This record gives sequence, C-alpha cells and structure tokens, in this order.
Amino acid sequence: MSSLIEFRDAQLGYSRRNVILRDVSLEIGRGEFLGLVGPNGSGKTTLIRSLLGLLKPVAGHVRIGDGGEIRFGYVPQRETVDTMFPIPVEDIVLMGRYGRIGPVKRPGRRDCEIARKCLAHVGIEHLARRNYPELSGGQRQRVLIARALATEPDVLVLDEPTHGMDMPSEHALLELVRTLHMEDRLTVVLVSHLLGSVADSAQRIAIIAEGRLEGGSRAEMLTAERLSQLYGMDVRVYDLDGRCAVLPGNGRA
Amino acid sequence: MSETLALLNVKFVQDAFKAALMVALLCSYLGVFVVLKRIVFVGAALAEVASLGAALAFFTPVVSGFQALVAAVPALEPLEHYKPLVLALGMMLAAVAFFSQPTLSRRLPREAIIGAAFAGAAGLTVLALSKVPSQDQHAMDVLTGNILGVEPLELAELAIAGILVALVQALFYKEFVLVSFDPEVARTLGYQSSRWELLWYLTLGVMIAVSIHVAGTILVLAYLVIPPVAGLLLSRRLGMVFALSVLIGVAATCAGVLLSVSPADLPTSPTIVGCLVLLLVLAWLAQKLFALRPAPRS
Repeated sequence: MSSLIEFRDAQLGYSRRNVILRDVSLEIGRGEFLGLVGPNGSGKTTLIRSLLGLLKPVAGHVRIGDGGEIRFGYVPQRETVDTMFPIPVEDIVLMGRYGRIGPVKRPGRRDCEIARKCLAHVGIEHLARRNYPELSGGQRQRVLIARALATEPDVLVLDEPTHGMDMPSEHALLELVRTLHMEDRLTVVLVSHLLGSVADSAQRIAIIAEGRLEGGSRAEMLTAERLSQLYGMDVRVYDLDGRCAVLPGNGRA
Repeated sequence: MSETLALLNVKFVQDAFKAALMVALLCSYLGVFVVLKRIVFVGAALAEVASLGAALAFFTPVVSGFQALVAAVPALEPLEHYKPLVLALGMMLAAVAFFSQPTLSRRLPREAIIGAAFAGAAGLTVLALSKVPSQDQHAMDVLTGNILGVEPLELAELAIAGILVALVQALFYKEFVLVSFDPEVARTLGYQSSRWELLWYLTLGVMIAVSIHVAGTILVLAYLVIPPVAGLLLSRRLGMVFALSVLIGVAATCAGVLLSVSPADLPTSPTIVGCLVLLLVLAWLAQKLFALRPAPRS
C-alpha cells in the first residue's frame, strides 16, 4: 500500500507560539480507512486543516500526494454549513464540481450528470429538487457526502459526520461510508470525538490525547491497556459478536 | 394623472427615474446576499462610513487642503466635483479592508466592532454636517441624497459603477454563492474564500458609496434589506428570491417616483421607502395566506 499522505515529526498549529499538536507522525495509505479520534478541543480540526493543505506545518514535514496532486472530498461538520441559503440539493452537490470547473465558467452537462450519479450513490436522488434547509440531519449529511464525491476525490475526509444523530441514522451513515470505502476503494479519513463511531469501521485508528497523536492498527489501538493509558482512566474493550464496544470501566487506570 | 404623466417627460424627472432604478436594481440584488449572510449591520455601517467620507469633502480643513493642492497642481482642479465621491470610496474601501479581516473577531464580538464603526461614523457625519454652511445646498444633497436633483454627471458615475458591479456579480455569481454558503469547503476546492469575500464586499461598498451620493443613506439601506426580505418570504428558490427582490425594488421605485411628482408632492426617497414597506407587508400577508413557507421537514 503506497503512502498517500505523510506527516513526519510535524508541529501543527497557527504559529510557533501557538502549536496545537506536537511531533505528529502519521501515514495514510491509498485505499485505507483511518479513524481519527480525540476529545473536543484536542486539535482534530488543526490536523484536518493540515491534512487538507489549508494549514502549513509550523515545523517538520508534511507530504500530501504520492507524486501528483491529490483531490480531497471534504465533508465538514453539518453545523458549519449555512442553512439560511435556499439552495436545492442538486445545486449543492454541483458545488463539488467547482474545483474542476474553475472560476467564471458554468457547470456543463457532464458536471450535472456526475452530480446526479453522486446523489443516486448515496441514495437521495429523490431529494434533488428539495431545498437543503428543509432536510433532516441524516439527509443533510448525505447531501454533503454526495458533494464531496462529486469532486471525484482521492481521499474522503469526514469531520464528525454522525454528531447529533440518532442511533439508526448514525448506523445507516456509517454503513454508507463503509460501502464507499469497500466498493469504490476510496481512501477514507473519518474524524470523531467518539471512539465507538470509528472502532468498527476503520482499519487503522489514530487517537489525539494531550497534544499528541498516537496511531496504529485496530488490534494495536483497541486494547483496554492502551486506551486506559491514553485517556488516563479505566477503559474496557468488549467483543460483541465480532463488533467492538469501548466502554468506561469502574476504577482508575 | 395627466399632469403627473406629463412630468415624466421632464428631463430631471427622467434622470431621477433612471438613477433610482439603477440603485434599486443593484442594491436589491446585492441585498439578497446581505440578508442571507446576516450582515445587514455591516451594510448599515458601510453606508454611514461612506456618508462620513462624503461629509469630509465639505469639512473646512479638507477644503483648504484641497485648495492648496490645486494651487500647487492646477491640473487637479477638475477633480473638485469628484471630491465627495472619492473620499466616500476611500473611506468605504478602508472600512471594507478592516471589516473583512479574518482576525477581526478573535478578541471581541464582530458585531460590537461594526456597531462602534456605525455609531462613530454616524456621529462624525453629523459633526461634519454642522460645519457645512446651511446655504450650501449641494453639500446637503450629496450627504442626504436628492434623487430629483441628480445631475447628468452623477448619473454617469452611477451607471459606470453599476455596470462594473453588475459585471463582477454576473461573472462570479457561482463563486460568491459558494464562499457565502460554505467558505471552508470552498477553500478545499481551491477558492481562496477570503479573497472572494473581499471582492464581494468591494462591489457592495462601491455600490453603497455611489448610491448614497444620489439616493441617501436611508433609501440605500431600505433597498438592501426590504426587497430581499420580501423575496425570501415569497420564494424558496435562491434564483427566484433574487428575481423577486429586484422586481419589488423596481416596482416600489416606479410607484414612489410617480407618487412624489404627483399633485400629492411627496419627498421622493421617503415615498419609495414607504412603497417598499407596503410591498413587504403585502408579501408577508401573501406568505401567511398561501402558506408559502416554511416547507415541511422530511
């Protein structure tokens, strides 16, 4: 598996005096599913911005792409998307094509066709003419995923996609992301503050705790000992019919 | 009625009509963004800052300074007429550069800073006005706007600025909607959101500065807010909201100018504002009667 993105001893932040994450070393391979977990305010957004190339490292080395330029399909947190604009779903998905179309030019027939296919791919083609603000949380999330897919991305980056969702919606959405990863062989980076959201889907897991990032395979990371050490509390890991459940324990680590 | 229609053939009424329609068309269009981006207060602050710039053109030290400059460089004399516009544009550009700073609201709420600019500009404008000789009608027209007194040169300035703003808005419509709707994703798609935002603010600022020159602060603000709100009440499609906003702005302008030159003899700008408010009330009633919004959530 070739490495598509590489962070080596990177200091990530907004200036030398404002470093949020230190000594970040992380590799993301083509076709990999990485789960990135950390509590609120731990620096997940800083890492995502660096990953997307929006923030240069304060120090260290960050390589994005394996020789050529790579394209990201970014699914931001639903709450950051404006719900005041009365824009139909199909037009929002079409926005994913803007990076390829460039300024001034208008979307062509092929762009519209790709947008329609992406809507169908996430199962919401029937909502194409509906306005985004009128949709439920789960539907909105699917619209944002369809828009990210319309960029024809090398890497799909999802920031807290299940935040604020009920259990059936969360399950359906994670199933969709798993399907996109398995069937389309898409590289996926799923960011969440809940380990449970990524434990069953990701091949590799990276956890941010106290300004540092630690990563490894699921088997390496999802152990009671490792998680208790990282979170500084007693954590239990259970196997429930082949699925992983992470729960807080009763005592201190 | 025939008297009113006859007045429409008079040159100054025709010029007033043209000026009001240009301001209505563009401000009602830009206003849709202003309302949806929740920056009505920024629009108000930019209008006050532009007014302050125009007021400074009549402020004694500025007048003396310009006279000294003309004495040194006589070629600058023809610029005398453009002084209020140039100063209004200059102040507005400085305000746009200041308001569009991404770091503006790190330590203080953005609204508080914009509010301070609004109050400061409004107060200083009144202060500058107090030093303008009361018999200087031209100065008062420039500061408060007098559509019926619009001069051919001002009409030309408005037309040039209007065409430029319309061109930029038409060319970059898709980019302006993208960066307004989702600036973070716009950046991942290769669009520098802050630069596009700055360009959009510049078109708004230029339009406000030249419009205030002929229509006054209150009418320009009314165009920026009332037609878009009425459009949003009547439609759930962004394209249709833009169309309705412009239509409502133009309709109120036609009605307002006709009423003001009718035997009722009403002041033009306030009459147009009155017509805008009436259309807003009608839009609200239509929305209530026909349940146009909100649509059911899925």
